[in-house]
Amino acid sequence: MRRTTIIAAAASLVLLPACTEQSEPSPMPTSEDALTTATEEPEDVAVTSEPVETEEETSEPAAEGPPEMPAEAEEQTEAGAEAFVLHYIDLINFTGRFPQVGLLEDLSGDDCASCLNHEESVVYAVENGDYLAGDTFIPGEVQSLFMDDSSRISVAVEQPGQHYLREGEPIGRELESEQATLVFRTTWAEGWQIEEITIEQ
Amino acid sequence: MNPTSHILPILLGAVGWLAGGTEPPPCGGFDCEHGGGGAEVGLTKSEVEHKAEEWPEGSSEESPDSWFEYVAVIDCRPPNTPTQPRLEICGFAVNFCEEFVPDSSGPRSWIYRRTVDASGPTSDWTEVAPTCFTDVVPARSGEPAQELTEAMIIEQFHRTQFALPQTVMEPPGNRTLVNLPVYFELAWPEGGFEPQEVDVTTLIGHEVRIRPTLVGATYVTGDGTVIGPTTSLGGPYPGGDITHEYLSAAEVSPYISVEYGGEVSVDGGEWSAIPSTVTIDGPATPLEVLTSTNRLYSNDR
Repeated sequence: MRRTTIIAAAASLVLLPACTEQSEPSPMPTSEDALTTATEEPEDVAVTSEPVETEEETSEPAAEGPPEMPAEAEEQTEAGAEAFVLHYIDLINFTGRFPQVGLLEDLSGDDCASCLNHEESVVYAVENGDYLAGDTFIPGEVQSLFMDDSSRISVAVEQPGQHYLREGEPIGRELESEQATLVFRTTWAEGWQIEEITIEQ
Repeated sequence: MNPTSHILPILLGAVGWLAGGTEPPPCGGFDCEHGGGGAEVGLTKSEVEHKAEEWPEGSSEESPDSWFEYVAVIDCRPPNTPTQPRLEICGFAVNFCEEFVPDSSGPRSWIYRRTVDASGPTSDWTEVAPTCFTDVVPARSGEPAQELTEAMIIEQFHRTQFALPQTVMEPPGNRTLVNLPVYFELAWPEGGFEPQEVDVTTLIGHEVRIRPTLVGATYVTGDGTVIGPTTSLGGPYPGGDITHEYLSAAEVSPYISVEYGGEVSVDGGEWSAIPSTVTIDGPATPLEVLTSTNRLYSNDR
């Protein structure tokens, strides 16, 4: 105890401001006083770098997590079927921008040809480094027909025109700007599954 | 619209990439549906039938304050509308279902729906969806579509307003002589449906066309003689093949009785025979059979 006290006293002596030139100690800084000295902003500021590009056309994709299935999409209700379909569209959009295999597969039946096409598109994108800057589908009005163990969910969809990108640069592939209605047929088996997706134009 | 119309751009893109020696790109966006599930061909049979279980908000089967009415409008629009759903049955509507939904009744129709309560319709007709299962479109909430049966068709056949066969005779004037051949001819009037004239009706939402056929005509001369049944319509002197000589003076009432068969076509489908007949008696035509007496007179009487 005594040894610790001596050391603390010595430390405090070292830290005390010099008193050789002032007869009185400096006032303690208040909370309003800056602890660092503020300097005036210079009038001429040399631009040393361009601002970070925010245009989606050319930016590299940032890593983001996939959208999680909302709790409602796991309910055997009309609203649940709608939520499930919209979640599937969200995943198509996500895997278009941030290609990642394995997100779509568990949500569809083995015979869903449209679903398989979307999955293969993701595989190709991963293998070749292709991606989209924007969403593939923009969903609109939803109409549903619910029959307890199955549903027919039709979604008005806009497909914005855009190029596929690779390393930030457009490549030859592109999506045409189009509008259509996608018709999702789902079945319930301890959760919703997409049986098929057809298109009305 | 041709459901396969978007395949060609995909194939052309694949060919282009193949020419470059790399793996052809897969589909993207809507092309994945075009090359996958394809074009939407309409509601399935169970989806159509389920429409009978739908009720307007606030209403239910237990408390049917309002309900939906449905109509299947043959997809030949224009001219077909919800108020005239079967004005035309076009080749497109028939062929579409035969090609893309071969197990359906067809023809392709658009289901329309409106809301109705005790005071009448409370909304306009609005499109619901297309279907090839036109025969199961319900009439309204809570009332599944009835199946059109043969019994219904036969009953409708019996209700047909058949043409009454008219008796035309020669000599004219409703008078003849004993032992003078009377020529009979069957004439069809303006009113009523004669053989080959189609009667169009609607049974539980189905267009039913009934076309009478002539099974046979029986000429009842009125003096106990019956000629027929025959398919001959007779004819005037001298070529008509239905003739009769009355043997004694009398006032008779000949008439013609026709046995009708029929053929039926449902919703524009093929014609098929109706397993039933109807016998219709025409009106009697009064005929006075006279005798003639020959007398000789001398010039000096």
